[in-house]
Amino acid sequence: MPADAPPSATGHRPAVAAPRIRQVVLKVHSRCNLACDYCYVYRHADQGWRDRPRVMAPGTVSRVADRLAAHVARHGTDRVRVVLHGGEPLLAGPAVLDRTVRTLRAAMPCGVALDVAMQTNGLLLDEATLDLCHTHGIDVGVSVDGDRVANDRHRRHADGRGSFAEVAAALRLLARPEHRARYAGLLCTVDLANDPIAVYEGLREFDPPRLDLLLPHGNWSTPPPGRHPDDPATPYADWLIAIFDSWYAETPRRTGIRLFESLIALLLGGHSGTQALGAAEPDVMTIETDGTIEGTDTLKTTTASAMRTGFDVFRHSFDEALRHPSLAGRPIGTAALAAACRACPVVDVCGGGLYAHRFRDGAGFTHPSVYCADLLRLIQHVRTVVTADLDALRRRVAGASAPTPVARP
Amino acid sequence: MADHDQPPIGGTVGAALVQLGDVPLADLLAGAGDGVLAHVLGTLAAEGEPGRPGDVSAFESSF
Repeated sequence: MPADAPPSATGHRPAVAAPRIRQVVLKVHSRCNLACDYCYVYRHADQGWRDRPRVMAPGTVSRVADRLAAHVARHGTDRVRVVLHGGEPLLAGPAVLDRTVRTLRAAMPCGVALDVAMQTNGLLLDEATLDLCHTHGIDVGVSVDGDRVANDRHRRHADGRGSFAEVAAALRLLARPEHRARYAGLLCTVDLANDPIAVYEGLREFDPPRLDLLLPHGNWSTPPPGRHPDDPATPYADWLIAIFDSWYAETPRRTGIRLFESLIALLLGGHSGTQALGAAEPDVMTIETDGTIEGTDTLKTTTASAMRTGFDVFRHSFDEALRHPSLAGRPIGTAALAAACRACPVVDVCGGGLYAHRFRDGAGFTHPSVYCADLLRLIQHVRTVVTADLDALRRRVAGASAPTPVARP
Repeated sequence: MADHDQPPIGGTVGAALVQLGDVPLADLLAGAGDGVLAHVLGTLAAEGEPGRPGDVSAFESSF
Protein backbone atom coordinates (compact mmCIF):
# COMPACT_ATOMS: atom_id res chain seq x y z
CA MET A 1 0.00 0.00 0.00
CA PRO A 2 1.36 3.47 -0.80
CA ALA A 3 2.50 5.47 2.17
CA ASP A 4 -0.30 7.97 1.76
CA ALA A 5 -3.10 5.60 0.86
CA PRO A 6 -6.33 6.54 2.65
CA PRO A 7 -7.70 4.30 5.42
CA SER A 8 -10.53 3.12 3.20
CA ALA A 9 -7.91 1.14 1.28
CA THR A 10 -7.50 -1.13 4.27
CA GLY A 11 -11.12 -1.16 5.33
CA HIS A 12 -10.49 0.04 8.86
CA ARG A 13 -9.45 3.16 10.72
CA PRO A 14 -5.70 2.82 11.20
CA ALA A 15 -3.94 3.11 14.49
CA VAL A 16 -0.74 4.68 13.22
CA ALA A 17 0.77 5.92 16.45
CA ALA A 18 3.29 8.43 15.17
CA PRO A 19 4.82 10.41 13.73
CA ARG A 20 2.27 12.72 12.27
CA ILE A 21 1.91 16.31 11.30
CA ARG A 22 -0.14 18.64 13.42
CA GLN A 23 0.73 21.81 11.57
CA VAL A 24 1.73 22.77 8.06
CA VAL A 25 3.50 26.06 7.45
CA LEU A 26 2.47 27.04 3.96
CA LYS A 27 4.74 29.55 2.25
CA VAL A 28 2.15 31.19 0.04
CA HIS A 29 4.54 34.01 -0.91
CA SER A 30 8.32 33.85 -0.78
CA ARG A 31 9.10 37.57 -0.69
CA CYS A 32 8.55 40.28 1.91
CA ASN A 33 7.69 43.98 1.88
CA LEU A 34 9.98 44.57 4.84
CA ALA A 35 13.73 44.06 5.13
CA CYS A 36 14.14 43.22 8.82
CA ASP A 37 17.82 42.75 9.51
CA TYR A 38 17.30 39.71 11.77
CA CYS A 39 14.96 37.74 9.49
CA TYR A 40 15.68 34.02 9.53
CA VAL A 41 14.32 33.59 6.01
CA TYR A 42 16.50 36.15 4.22
CA ARG A 43 19.41 36.95 6.53
CA HIS A 44 20.62 33.56 7.69
CA ALA A 45 22.42 30.55 6.26
CA ASP A 46 19.74 29.18 3.95
CA GLN A 47 19.23 31.45 0.93
CA GLY A 48 16.93 29.05 -0.88
CA TRP A 49 14.22 31.69 -1.20
CA ARG A 50 16.15 33.27 -4.10
CA ASP A 51 15.38 30.33 -6.39
CA ARG A 52 11.72 29.89 -5.58
CA PRO A 53 8.57 31.26 -7.21
CA ARG A 54 7.13 34.30 -5.53
CA VAL A 55 3.63 32.86 -5.21
CA MET A 56 2.49 29.29 -4.64
CA ALA A 57 0.74 28.19 -7.84
CA PRO A 58 -2.79 26.71 -7.79
CA GLY A 59 -1.50 23.30 -8.86
CA THR A 60 0.95 23.26 -5.98
CA VAL A 61 -1.77 24.17 -3.50
CA SER A 62 -3.93 21.35 -4.85
CA ARG A 63 -1.12 18.89 -4.39
CA VAL A 64 -0.51 20.10 -0.83
CA ALA A 65 -4.22 19.69 -0.11
CA ASP A 66 -4.23 16.13 -1.47
CA ARG A 67 -1.13 15.16 0.49
CA LEU A 68 -2.46 16.67 3.69
CA ALA A 69 -5.84 15.01 3.27
CA ALA A 70 -4.19 11.63 2.73
CA HIS A 71 -1.98 12.15 5.78
CA VAL A 72 -4.77 13.07 8.18
CA ALA A 73 -6.92 10.22 6.90
CA ARG A 74 -4.13 7.72 7.29
CA HIS A 75 -3.44 8.82 10.85
CA GLY A 76 -7.05 9.21 11.92
CA THR A 77 -6.39 12.84 12.77
CA ASP A 78 -9.48 14.88 13.49
CA ARG A 79 -7.82 18.30 13.58
CA VAL A 80 -4.92 19.84 11.71
CA ARG A 81 -3.62 23.36 11.32
CA VAL A 82 -2.27 25.29 8.35
CA VAL A 83 -0.40 28.54 8.84
CA LEU A 84 -0.26 30.89 5.87
CA HIS A 85 3.28 32.16 6.07
CA GLY A 86 6.02 33.72 4.02
CA GLY A 87 7.85 35.94 3.28
CA GLU A 88 4.79 38.04 3.76
CA PRO A 89 1.63 36.04 3.04
CA LEU A 90 -0.53 39.10 2.34
CA LEU A 91 1.64 39.89 -0.69
CA ALA A 92 -0.12 36.94 -2.35
CA GLY A 93 -3.32 39.02 -2.39
CA PRO A 94 -6.84 38.18 -1.22
CA ALA A 95 -7.75 36.17 -4.33
CA VAL A 96 -4.83 33.78 -3.92
CA LEU A 97 -5.44 33.39 -0.20
CA ASP A 98 -9.14 32.79 -0.78
CA ARG A 99 -8.43 30.15 -3.41
CA THR A 100 -5.77 28.51 -1.24
CA VAL A 101 -8.00 28.09 1.79
CA ARG A 102 -10.94 26.90 -0.30
CA THR A 103 -8.74 24.28 -1.96
CA LEU A 104 -7.40 23.03 1.36
CA ARG A 105 -10.82 22.87 3.00
CA ALA A 106 -12.41 21.11 0.05
CA ALA A 107 -9.83 18.34 0.23
CA MET A 108 -10.23 17.55 3.93
CA PRO A 109 -11.90 14.26 4.74
CA CYS A 110 -15.29 14.39 6.41
CA GLY A 111 -14.95 15.06 10.13
CA VAL A 112 -11.50 16.63 9.96
CA ALA A 113 -11.32 20.22 11.21
CA LEU A 114 -8.84 22.43 9.40
CA ASP A 115 -7.73 25.39 11.49
CA VAL A 116 -6.17 28.17 9.44
CA ALA A 117 -3.91 30.90 10.78
CA MET A 118 -1.75 33.53 9.19
CA GLN A 119 1.39 35.23 10.45
CA THR A 120 1.86 38.65 8.90
CA ASN A 121 3.84 41.83 9.39
CA GLY A 122 0.49 43.63 9.20
CA LEU A 123 1.42 46.22 6.61
CA LEU A 124 -1.26 45.07 4.14
CA LEU A 125 -3.87 44.18 6.72
CA ASP A 126 -7.04 46.07 5.80
CA GLU A 127 -10.80 45.68 5.91
CA ALA A 128 -10.89 43.60 2.74
CA THR A 129 -8.29 41.20 4.09
CA LEU A 130 -10.08 40.92 7.39
CA ASP A 131 -13.35 40.20 5.60
CA LEU A 132 -11.57 37.26 4.00
CA CYS A 133 -10.27 36.17 7.40
CA HIS A 134 -13.79 36.23 8.82
CA THR A 135 -15.13 34.29 5.85
CA HIS A 136 -12.61 31.50 6.31
CA GLY A 137 -12.01 31.73 10.05
CA ILE A 138 -8.36 32.68 9.57
CA ASP A 139 -6.70 33.69 12.84
CA VAL A 140 -4.22 36.51 12.41
CA GLY A 141 -0.92 36.78 14.24
CA VAL A 142 1.15 39.90 13.75
CA SER A 143 4.88 40.41 14.20
CA VAL A 144 5.80 43.59 16.07
CA ASP A 145 8.68 44.21 18.46
CA GLY A 146 7.11 46.58 20.98
CA ASP A 147 6.98 50.35 20.98
CA ARG A 148 8.15 52.50 18.08
CA VAL A 149 11.79 52.60 19.17
CA ALA A 150 11.98 48.85 19.68
CA ASN A 151 10.05 47.91 16.57
CA ASP A 152 11.89 50.19 14.20
CA ARG A 153 15.29 49.06 15.41
CA HIS A 154 15.01 46.06 13.08
CA ARG A 155 11.62 45.99 11.38
CA ARG A 156 12.29 48.42 8.56
CA HIS A 157 11.55 48.84 4.89
CA ALA A 158 14.31 48.27 2.37
CA ASP A 159 14.89 52.04 2.25
CA GLY A 160 15.40 52.18 6.01
CA ARG A 161 12.02 53.58 7.02
CA GLY A 162 10.54 52.11 10.15
CA SER A 163 7.31 50.11 9.94
CA PHE A 164 5.79 50.96 13.31
CA ALA A 165 3.17 53.46 12.13
CA GLU A 166 1.81 51.01 9.59
CA VAL A 167 1.70 48.00 11.87
CA ALA A 168 0.19 50.08 14.65
CA ALA A 169 -2.64 51.16 12.35
CA ALA A 170 -3.22 47.54 11.36
CA LEU A 171 -3.31 46.42 14.97
CA ARG A 172 -5.78 49.10 15.93
CA LEU A 173 -8.00 47.77 13.16
CA LEU A 174 -7.54 44.15 14.20
CA ALA A 175 -8.31 44.97 17.84
CA ARG A 176 -11.67 46.57 17.01
CA PRO A 177 -14.64 44.62 18.37
CA GLU A 178 -15.85 43.52 14.96
CA HIS A 179 -12.47 41.95 14.13
CA ARG A 180 -11.20 40.86 17.51
CA ALA A 181 -12.37 37.28 17.08
CA ARG A 182 -9.67 36.85 14.44
CA TYR A 183 -6.90 38.44 16.55
CA ALA A 184 -4.54 35.57 17.43
CA GLY A 185 -1.70 37.49 19.02
CA LEU A 186 1.63 39.24 18.66
CA LEU A 187 5.11 37.86 18.10
CA CYS A 188 7.95 39.96 19.44
CA THR A 189 11.63 39.22 18.97
CA VAL A 190 13.73 40.10 21.99
CA ASP A 191 16.50 42.67 21.64
CA LEU A 192 18.59 43.41 24.71
CA ALA A 193 19.02 47.00 23.52
CA ASN A 194 15.34 47.62 24.16
CA ASP A 195 13.91 48.37 27.57
CA PRO A 196 11.86 45.28 28.50
CA ILE A 197 9.10 47.13 30.30
CA ALA A 198 8.75 49.65 27.48
CA VAL A 199 8.49 46.72 25.06
CA TYR A 200 5.85 44.99 27.16
CA GLU A 201 3.83 48.15 27.64
CA GLY A 202 4.14 48.91 23.94
CA LEU A 203 2.78 45.49 23.05
CA ARG A 204 0.02 45.74 25.63
CA GLU A 205 -1.17 48.98 24.01
CA PHE A 206 -2.44 46.81 21.16
CA ASP A 207 -4.60 44.81 23.56
CA PRO A 208 -3.46 41.41 22.28
CA PRO A 209 -5.22 38.27 23.53
CA ARG A 210 -1.76 36.74 23.78
CA LEU A 211 1.79 37.44 22.77
CA ASP A 212 5.07 35.65 22.65
CA LEU A 213 8.64 36.75 23.24
CA LEU A 214 11.04 35.05 20.85
CA LEU A 215 14.72 34.71 21.57
CA PRO A 216 16.74 35.87 18.56
CA HIS A 217 18.04 32.99 16.51
CA GLY A 218 21.56 31.85 17.07
CA ASN A 219 23.57 28.78 18.00
CA TRP A 220 26.97 27.80 19.40
CA SER A 221 28.73 28.65 16.13
CA THR A 222 26.81 31.86 15.47
CA PRO A 223 25.85 33.11 18.91
CA PRO A 224 22.91 35.47 19.36
CA PRO A 225 23.65 39.13 20.07
CA GLY A 226 24.98 39.58 23.61
CA ARG A 227 25.06 35.86 24.31
CA HIS A 228 28.67 34.80 24.64
CA PRO A 229 29.26 31.06 24.91
CA ASP A 230 31.00 30.14 28.18
CA ASP A 231 29.90 33.41 29.78
CA PRO A 232 27.79 32.73 32.88
CA ALA A 233 25.96 36.05 32.51
CA THR A 234 22.26 35.70 31.74
CA PRO A 235 21.24 38.86 29.90
CA TYR A 236 18.25 37.29 28.17
CA ALA A 237 16.91 35.79 31.38
CA ASP A 238 17.31 39.15 33.11
CA TRP A 239 15.43 40.86 30.29
CA LEU A 240 12.63 38.31 30.29
CA ILE A 241 12.32 38.26 34.07
CA ALA A 242 11.63 41.99 34.09
CA ILE A 243 8.61 41.39 31.88
CA PHE A 244 7.58 38.23 33.72
CA ASP A 245 7.42 40.03 37.05
CA SER A 246 5.39 42.90 35.63
CA TRP A 247 3.02 40.57 33.76
CA TYR A 248 2.59 38.06 36.58
CA ALA A 249 1.67 40.81 39.06
CA GLU A 250 -1.24 41.99 36.94
CA THR A 251 -4.63 41.01 38.34
CA PRO A 252 -6.78 40.31 36.52
CA ARG A 253 -4.56 38.77 33.87
CA ARG A 254 -4.50 41.18 30.94
CA THR A 255 -2.91 39.06 28.28
CA GLY A 256 -1.19 35.72 27.84
CA ILE A 257 2.52 35.34 27.23
CA ARG A 258 3.07 31.99 25.56
CA LEU A 259 6.64 31.49 26.73
CA PHE A 260 5.82 32.16 30.37
CA GLU A 261 2.52 30.30 30.48
CA SER A 262 4.17 27.30 28.86
CA LEU A 263 6.92 27.46 31.45
CA ILE A 264 4.44 27.57 34.33
CA ALA A 265 2.39 24.75 32.83
CA LEU A 266 5.51 22.62 32.47
CA LEU A 267 6.55 23.35 36.05
CA LEU A 268 3.16 22.05 37.13
CA GLY A 269 3.43 18.93 35.01
CA GLY A 270 1.46 20.18 32.01
CA HIS A 271 2.67 20.62 28.48
CA SER A 272 4.20 23.41 26.47
CA GLY A 273 2.56 25.59 23.86
CA THR A 274 5.85 26.50 22.26
CA GLN A 275 8.72 24.71 20.57
CA ALA A 276 11.03 26.87 22.66
CA LEU A 277 10.40 24.74 25.76
CA GLY A 278 9.46 21.23 26.70
CA ALA A 279 10.98 18.95 24.06
CA ALA A 280 8.35 19.57 21.42
CA GLU A 281 7.72 16.86 18.86
CA PRO A 282 8.84 17.67 15.31
CA ASP A 283 5.24 17.81 14.12
CA VAL A 284 5.54 20.91 11.93
CA MET A 285 6.17 20.66 8.22
CA THR A 286 7.05 23.57 5.94
CA ILE A 287 5.97 23.70 2.30
CA GLU A 288 7.80 26.23 0.17
CA THR A 289 6.18 28.04 -2.78
CA ASP A 290 7.59 25.48 -5.23
CA GLY A 291 6.11 22.55 -3.30
CA THR A 292 9.37 21.60 -1.61
CA ILE A 293 8.82 19.88 1.73
CA GLU A 294 11.07 21.07 4.52
CA GLY A 295 11.39 20.72 8.26
CA THR A 296 10.96 23.29 10.95
CA ASP A 297 11.51 26.71 9.47
CA THR A 298 13.91 27.93 12.13
CA LEU A 299 16.55 25.40 11.03
CA LYS A 300 17.27 27.85 8.22
CA THR A 301 19.44 29.62 10.78
CA THR A 302 21.87 26.71 11.15
CA THR A 303 23.15 25.54 7.78
CA ALA A 304 21.96 25.98 4.23
CA SER A 305 20.90 22.36 4.09
CA ALA A 306 19.69 21.62 7.62
CA MET A 307 16.02 21.55 6.72
CA ARG A 308 16.26 20.39 3.12
CA THR A 309 14.65 17.01 2.69
CA GLY A 310 14.88 16.54 -1.06
CA PHE A 311 11.15 15.80 -1.00
CA ASP A 312 8.30 17.67 -2.60
CA VAL A 313 4.54 17.40 -2.70
CA PHE A 314 4.51 16.28 -6.33
CA ARG A 315 6.56 13.13 -5.78
CA HIS A 316 6.35 12.34 -2.08
CA SER A 317 3.79 11.82 0.61
CA PHE A 318 3.96 13.61 3.93
CA ASP A 319 4.69 10.28 5.62
CA GLU A 320 7.72 9.72 3.40
CA ALA A 321 8.99 13.21 4.12
CA LEU A 322 8.45 12.79 7.85
CA ARG A 323 11.15 10.16 7.98
CA HIS A 324 13.79 12.72 7.02
CA PRO A 325 16.27 13.74 9.76
CA SER A 326 15.04 17.35 9.68
CA LEU A 327 11.56 16.11 10.60
CA ALA A 328 10.42 13.17 12.68
CA GLY A 329 13.36 11.12 11.44
CA ARG A 330 15.59 12.90 13.91
CA PRO A 331 15.95 11.81 17.51
CA ILE A 332 13.16 13.20 19.65
CA GLY A 333 12.46 13.58 23.33
CA THR A 334 15.30 12.80 25.69
CA ALA A 335 17.11 10.83 22.98
CA ALA A 336 17.71 14.12 21.17
CA LEU A 337 19.36 15.75 24.18
CA ALA A 338 22.96 16.02 25.28
CA ALA A 339 23.94 13.87 28.25
CA ALA A 340 24.20 16.92 30.46
CA CYS A 341 20.68 17.96 29.50
CA ARG A 342 19.32 14.52 30.31
CA ALA A 343 20.86 14.78 33.76
CA CYS A 344 19.69 18.35 34.35
CA PRO A 345 16.98 18.77 37.00
CA VAL A 346 14.99 21.21 34.85
CA VAL A 347 15.06 19.14 31.67
CA ASP A 348 11.31 18.49 31.81
CA VAL A 349 10.70 22.21 31.62
CA CYS A 350 13.49 23.34 29.34
CA GLY A 351 13.40 20.32 27.06
CA GLY A 352 16.73 21.43 25.63
CA GLY A 353 15.25 24.64 24.28
CA LEU A 354 14.51 25.37 20.64
CA TYR A 355 16.13 22.73 18.44
CA ALA A 356 17.86 25.28 16.19
CA HIS A 357 19.52 26.89 19.20
CA ARG A 358 21.40 23.66 20.03
CA PHE A 359 23.37 23.57 16.81
CA ARG A 360 27.16 23.64 16.64
CA ASP A 361 28.84 23.70 13.25
CA GLY A 362 30.32 20.31 12.43
CA ALA A 363 28.87 18.70 15.53
CA GLY A 364 25.12 18.80 14.97
CA PHE A 365 22.38 19.36 17.51
CA THR A 366 23.33 17.19 20.49
CA HIS A 367 24.16 20.14 22.68
CA PRO A 368 22.32 22.22 25.21
CA SER A 369 20.74 25.39 23.93
CA VAL A 370 23.10 28.29 23.37
CA TYR A 371 20.66 29.95 25.81
CA CYS A 372 21.20 27.26 28.47
CA ALA A 373 22.32 29.64 31.22
CA ASP A 374 19.47 32.04 30.49
CA LEU A 375 16.86 29.29 30.39
CA LEU A 376 18.05 27.87 33.68
CA ARG A 377 17.93 31.25 35.40
CA LEU A 378 14.49 32.03 33.99
CA ILE A 379 13.12 28.64 35.04
CA GLN A 380 14.52 29.04 38.55
CA HIS A 381 12.96 32.47 38.91
CA VAL A 382 9.54 31.44 37.63
CA ARG A 383 9.64 28.35 39.80
CA THR A 384 10.30 30.45 42.89
CA VAL A 385 7.46 32.86 42.11
CA VAL A 386 4.95 30.16 41.25
CA THR A 387 5.85 28.02 44.25
CA ALA A 388 5.24 30.94 46.61
CA ASP A 389 1.98 31.86 44.90
CA LEU A 390 0.77 28.27 44.92
CA ASP A 391 1.64 27.83 48.59
CA ALA A 392 -0.36 30.94 49.44
CA LEU A 393 -3.25 29.69 47.35
CA ARG A 394 -3.17 26.30 49.07
CA ARG A 395 -3.27 27.97 52.47
CA ARG A 396 -6.22 30.15 51.45
CA VAL A 397 -8.16 27.23 50.03
CA ALA A 398 -7.39 24.98 52.99
CA GLY A 399 -8.35 27.78 55.40
CA ALA A 400 -11.61 28.42 53.61
CA SER A 401 -12.59 24.77 53.75
CA ALA A 402 -11.60 24.20 57.38
CA PRO A 403 -14.60 23.79 59.76
CA THR A 404 -15.43 26.93 61.68
CA PRO A 405 -14.91 26.42 65.41
CA VAL A 406 -18.20 26.47 67.39
CA ALA A 407 -18.27 29.23 69.97
CA ARG A 408 -18.88 28.01 73.50
CA PRO A 409 -20.74 30.09 76.05
CA MET B 1 25.78 20.81 28.56
CA ALA B 2 26.77 24.37 28.41
CA ASP B 3 30.28 25.01 29.53
CA HIS B 4 29.15 26.17 32.92
CA ASP B 5 27.96 24.40 36.04
CA GLN B 6 24.29 23.73 36.61
CA PRO B 7 23.28 24.91 40.07
CA PRO B 8 21.17 22.34 41.89
CA ILE B 9 17.51 23.17 41.85
CA GLY B 10 15.97 20.09 43.42
CA GLY B 11 12.98 18.26 42.10
CA THR B 12 12.83 14.99 40.27
CA VAL B 13 13.39 14.55 36.58
CA GLY B 14 10.25 13.19 35.01
CA ALA B 15 7.87 14.88 37.42
CA ALA B 16 6.43 18.33 37.94
CA LEU B 17 8.96 20.60 39.62
CA VAL B 18 6.19 22.42 41.46
CA GLN B 19 3.73 20.08 43.13
CA LEU B 20 0.08 21.00 43.33
CA GLY B 21 -0.07 19.27 46.71
CA ASP B 22 -3.00 17.67 48.48
CA VAL B 23 -5.63 20.25 47.53
CA PRO B 24 -7.63 19.08 44.51
CA LEU B 25 -7.00 21.04 41.33
CA ALA B 26 -10.67 21.99 41.12
CA ASP B 27 -10.53 23.53 44.61
CA LEU B 28 -7.33 25.40 43.80
CA LEU B 29 -8.92 26.69 40.64
CA ALA B 30 -12.04 27.82 42.47
CA GLY B 31 -9.96 29.85 44.89
CA ALA B 32 -7.37 31.12 42.48
CA GLY B 33 -9.01 34.37 41.43
CA ASP B 34 -8.27 35.78 38.00
CA GLY B 35 -4.52 36.11 37.81
CA VAL B 36 -1.96 34.29 35.71
CA LEU B 37 -1.78 31.25 37.99
CA ALA B 38 -5.54 30.84 37.82
CA HIS B 39 -5.38 30.89 34.04
CA VAL B 40 -2.69 28.23 33.87
CA LEU B 41 -4.49 26.05 36.41
CA GLY B 42 -7.59 26.38 34.27
CA THR B 43 -5.62 25.19 31.26
CA LEU B 44 -4.33 22.22 33.22
CA ALA B 45 -7.81 21.36 34.39
CA ALA B 46 -9.06 21.51 30.82
CA GLU B 47 -6.31 19.17 29.72
CA GLY B 48 -7.37 16.55 32.22
CA GLU B 49 -4.47 14.96 33.98
CA PRO B 50 -1.42 17.24 34.13
CA GLY B 51 1.30 15.85 31.95
CA ARG B 52 -1.03 14.37 29.37
CA PRO B 53 0.43 15.07 25.93
CA GLY B 54 -1.42 17.88 24.27
CA ASP B 55 -2.74 17.93 20.77
CA VAL B 56 -1.52 21.41 19.97
CA SER B 57 1.42 22.01 17.74
CA ALA B 58 3.75 24.64 19.01
CA PHE B 59 5.37 26.23 15.98
CA GLU B 60 7.24 29.18 17.41
CA SER B 61 6.98 31.51 14.43
CA SER B 62 3.22 31.90 14.46
CA PHE B 63 0.16 31.71 16.66
